[in-house]
Parts: sequence; structure tokens; C-alpha cells
Amino acid sequence: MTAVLETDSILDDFDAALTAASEELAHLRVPAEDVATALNQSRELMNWLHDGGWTRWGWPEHVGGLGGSSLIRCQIVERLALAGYPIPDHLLVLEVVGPAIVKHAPDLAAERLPTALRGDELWSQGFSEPEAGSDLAALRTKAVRREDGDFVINGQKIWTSYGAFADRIVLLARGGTVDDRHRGLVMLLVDLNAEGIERRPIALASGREELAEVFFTDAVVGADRVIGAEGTGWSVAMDLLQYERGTYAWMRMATATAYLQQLLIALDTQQPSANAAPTVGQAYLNLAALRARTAATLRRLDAGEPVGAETSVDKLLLSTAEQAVLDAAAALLPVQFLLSDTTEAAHWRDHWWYSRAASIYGGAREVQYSIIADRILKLPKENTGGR
Amino acid sequence: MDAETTDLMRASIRELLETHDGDIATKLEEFGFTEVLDEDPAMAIDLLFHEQGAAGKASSALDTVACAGQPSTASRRHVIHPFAAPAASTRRGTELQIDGVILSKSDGPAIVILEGGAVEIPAAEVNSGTSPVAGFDPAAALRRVHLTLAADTLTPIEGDWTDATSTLHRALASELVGNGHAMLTIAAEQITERTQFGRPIGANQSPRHRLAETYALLGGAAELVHAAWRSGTPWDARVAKTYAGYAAEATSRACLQVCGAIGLTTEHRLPIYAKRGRLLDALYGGWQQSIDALGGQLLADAAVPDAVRI
Repeated sequence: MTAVLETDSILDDFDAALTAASEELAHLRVPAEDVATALNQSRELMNWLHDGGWTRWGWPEHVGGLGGSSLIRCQIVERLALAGYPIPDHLLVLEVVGPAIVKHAPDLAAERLPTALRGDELWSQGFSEPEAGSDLAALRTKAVRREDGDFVINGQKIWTSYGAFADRIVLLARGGTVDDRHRGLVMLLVDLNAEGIERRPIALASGREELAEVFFTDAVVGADRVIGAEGTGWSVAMDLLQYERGTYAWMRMATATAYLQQLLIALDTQQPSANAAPTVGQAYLNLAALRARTAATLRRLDAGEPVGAETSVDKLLLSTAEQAVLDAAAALLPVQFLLSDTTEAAHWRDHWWYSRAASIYGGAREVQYSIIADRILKLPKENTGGR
Repeated sequence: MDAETTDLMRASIRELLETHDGDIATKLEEFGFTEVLDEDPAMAIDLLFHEQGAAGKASSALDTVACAGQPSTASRRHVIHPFAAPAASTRRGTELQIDGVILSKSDGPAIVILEGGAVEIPAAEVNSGTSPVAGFDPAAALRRVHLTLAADTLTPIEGDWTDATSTLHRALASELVGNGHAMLTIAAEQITERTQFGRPIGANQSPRHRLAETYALLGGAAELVHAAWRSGTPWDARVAKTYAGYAAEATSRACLQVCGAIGLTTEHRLPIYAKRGRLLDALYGGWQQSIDALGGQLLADAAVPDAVRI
């Protein structure tokens, strides 16, 4: 009960601090024109959140946190989004990769995470490859150990969020051959300004260059950068994905709720169309289900309980809700969405395209269905003939 | 309520549902359900209605939970529940028009829950405006009520009725989730065992994905019920009921498809649940109607309501 009261008072304090800083932070509520500007704003907001102690809740003290439950941080960030601020991009990455590094590489976390948590560094996550998307175990990037203990990296990553701008990447690579599948993998924290690394931004259909390809040619990484142990990369990755389904999904939910809020305000100034009520009603309902479900998952993660295959449900509800909100915006603001050249309109389009990705990244919708069918409903394995 | 007590409770409710032929509402008191209801209503109601949903049986337990905690005079009355509408009564000038259903087979006075209170309808009046109906789900043994009464002749019933409708929404949502899970289990078993083209039907991608999708929807629905109990707001209760109705219908549609023709017959258990699910959704207004109302409210407020802290 004490913990609940404490959380409540922290959240109240946060609301008060955010309101007090409203003018100082006003420029961070203005939609950014491009990714570089957005990332500058993200860093500034990260600094403010960190220095006020807000985003330090739930991280252990040895990595620069204040301890306590990560549920506090999750709710702080939700309130931030609903107050009209984009959740910092820096934080979105750290919420996925951070907990796994804390758990599997405590020394490395103590050394490197504090700078990232303040927003002074931008991190990224290097899992997907041209030939390894939902089938992550097919990845080919090699991390071969030299005699001096360092790793030599060769290969290519793709769809890396903020890849062209990031300072570091949490990289999943293998020591042996592709036939080893999920065996023999290693997770490394790699500096992206190192020699032998090249990056190429990828423009999404909206024109936004948030994603990138990253190429590694004999790039050298120190032995102190291993997350987990050599050969355990797969289990570290699976552990990490729990947070992608938990905290990251929660943050996407908060962001999508903020979008619905923006849509309702936009609709308030125009003549309501007949399909407005059922369309926003359905979008809201999907968000509510996602929030309730993700909250339960966060509580389980916070209590150290395994969440396993059940998180596929969270992932499905996430893409359904996100797409419902952005489809509602596209349907109910058709002229703005299709014809307007304002920054605001461009944002709706960016978000719409990004919401399509929600059912692709982190294991496509179809993969989540298969996981539920196999591991929860225990249905017969899918016919593999011809594949 | 600890996990062990919860398990014991679940086991007794299951046994009751399996062995008792009639309305289980009359039996609930015997094994101490009413005490649990007082102590931990969220757990007790979720458990009872989830199990009732899973058993596919009708009862008047909804009346029990609607009247729980009310002065003893009200505890034995039947509630007139709204059907295909959010409320069972409409005020027209000095008249109260009542349109709804009674779940219990026994006669007696009935209750209409109004905004902020409840009134009693005397037994004679109830009888005059009530007729048994079979309809889509004869097993529900509903009685349809159609009455127009002078509002000032009705006796208000003491007690706090503000939360009653929300409690009923949450109970119905739990029953819909139980109903959906039962259908999913039946369909999963059938497509695992039955083969076509030399392999189990469940080894094909399409039925696997359809059932997985409904599992996700039911998972969301179950958590919305818990969230609605945590916040206690009428809005969250209605959201839970609406989403559960939507999830149960999606599940029904998917299961009826993958089970094939046999699933549409009296030889199969699935129609029992499909019928019941449809009726449960219509109580207190079906999901489509309700989504319209929720969306209309969001547009009117031009704001997303504050969500309960986690």
C-alpha cells in the first residue's frame, strides 16, 4: 500500500512539474520537420526528464537510476505523451534494450547506460537483416573472436530505427554458420562511429528517414562489450523481446492515445460525419484493451514473472490499436491527410505509415498467430510441405 | 483473496454448474458465495460469471449480484434487465415505460434500476406485462416485460444503486469472456482431431490464425474486466462489456466457421454457446450500439478520459 501511495504522489508531482515547465518546454510540443530535428528535441526532453529524476525511476541505482518500480516510469511517460509531448526516441530504444543489458551485463550497464539514460547518447537495436526478418534465427552477421579476445564484425543490419544518427547499436551476431540457427549467437554493444561501419538511411514511403541499413566490414569490438556470454545471444534476445512486448508496447499505446486525443480535438472544430462516432469508438476500445493487457504484462515483468508466449497477445493488440487510431485519422480527416502540406498533415501521414509497421516489426502479426496457435492453443503444427 | 481460496471457489462453482439442473442462483447462498461476494466482489463476480459463461448455462445470478449489499428487503427481487438497449425504462412525462427481460422463472415483484436509484414493480403488475419467450436461445428461458406505469405510484427501493449497473456490465463481460473461451476450446479440440486432405484441419494456416486472433481479443477482454474493477467507473465497466461482446462475437464467428457444418447442428455443443453469447451481448445493449455511444461521448468531450493508474 505504501508503494501505491508513493507512486501516486510521484505522479502528482510529475504532473505539477510538467505544468510548471509548460512554457520552457513549449517548443518540444511543436511537431518536428525532420528526423534530425526530432532527435534534437528528443535529447532535450530526455535531459529534462532525467535531471528532474522522472525517467530515473525503475532503473537500478548503479546505472544511474533511482530504484523503485518501472511502473512509475511507465506512467510518467504516459502522462508526458498525453500532455502533448512526443515520447523521446532515445527512451523508446532504451526501454527495449536497457533492462536486458542491466540483467546480462551489469558492469557494462553501469559504465555505459547512465549517459544514454540522460539522453546524451542515442542507442539503436541491430537485429533484423535482409535475410532475417521475422525469422531472426536466420541472421548472418558474423562476430568472430580474435586471439586477443576482441570480436571482428562482418555483415549487414537493416530496418534499424535511428540507425543513421545513433551513437551505439545493440547488435546480435553469430560466431559460426547460419545452420547453427539460434545457437552460437552473441549480443554486443557496438560504437557506430568505429572504423569499418557504414550507414545508409532508408526513406519510408512518407519520406521520413528514421530507419537505416548498417554495414560492418572488419569492425572491431572489445571483449568488454559482450552482453550475456558468448553463445547465449539468443536467450538474451528473447529476454529483451519481453520488454519490447511490455514497456515498449505500453509506450506505443500512450503515443497512440495521444494521437486519438489530437484527432478528437481536430474533429471538434469541424462538422461531424456520420461514421465519426463508431470509428473513434472502435479505435478507443482497441486502445483500452491494449492498455489493460499491457498493464498486466508490465506488472508481471515488474514482479519478475515469466511472460512467455502470452506476450504475442500484447503484440497483436498493439498493432490492431495503433492501426485503428491512424486509420480513424485518415478516414475522418481525409482532405488534410491526403492533400494538405502542413507539418501537422505530414505527421499524420508519417504516423499512419509507421502504424503499418506495427504489425511487421518484432515478429509479424502472422508469426504471433503461429506462436499462439502452437504454444497456447496447442494446435497441430502447420503443414510444412512445399516450404 | 488468496490463490488457494480462489481455486476452491472455482471448483465449487464448477461442480454446482455441472451437477445442478436448475437456476444456480438459489444455491449460491448455500455454499457461502454471498460471504465471498461481500469480501471480494471483484474476484467473486469475475469467477462466477466466467465459469457460468464457460458452462454455457443460464441463471438469475445477475440478480443476486445486482442486489448484493442492498437492504435485505431487496435481496429476493428480480431485476428487469434492459435488452438491446442500455436502460430498461424510459420516462415519458408522468409515465415510466418499461421494456426488458427477467431472468428468473419464479414470480414475484421486480426491480427496475434507474439512474441513481431503483423502483419496485409489484408482482401483480409484473405478471400482467410479462410473457415467457423462446426466441434465439430458448435455454435462457427469458421472460419479456412490457409495461407502462404511472411513475409516481412506484415505490423507490432503499439503498445505493449507483454502482449496480456497472457491476452488471462487469459480470456480463466476464460471462462473455468465459463463453468465448469455451467456444475456442471446443473449436481447437475439433480441428486438432478432425482430418481433411490427409492432415488435421488445425494444421492449416487459416484456421490456426483465426483462432489465435480470437484468443488475443478474449485476452484483451479479460484484462478490461479487471481494469474496470480497479477503477470502478461506469465508463470502464461499459467499455469492458462492449469489448467483451465484440470479442465473443468474433470468436463465435471464427469457431462456427472452422467447425464446419456439424457445428451448426443440435448434435454439437458450439451452438449452445453461440446462442448464449449473442443474448449476453444484447443485455444492456449490444457492442455495436455501445461503440456508437462511447464514440459519441468521446466526440462530445473532445478528449480521451483519464485512465486508471496501474
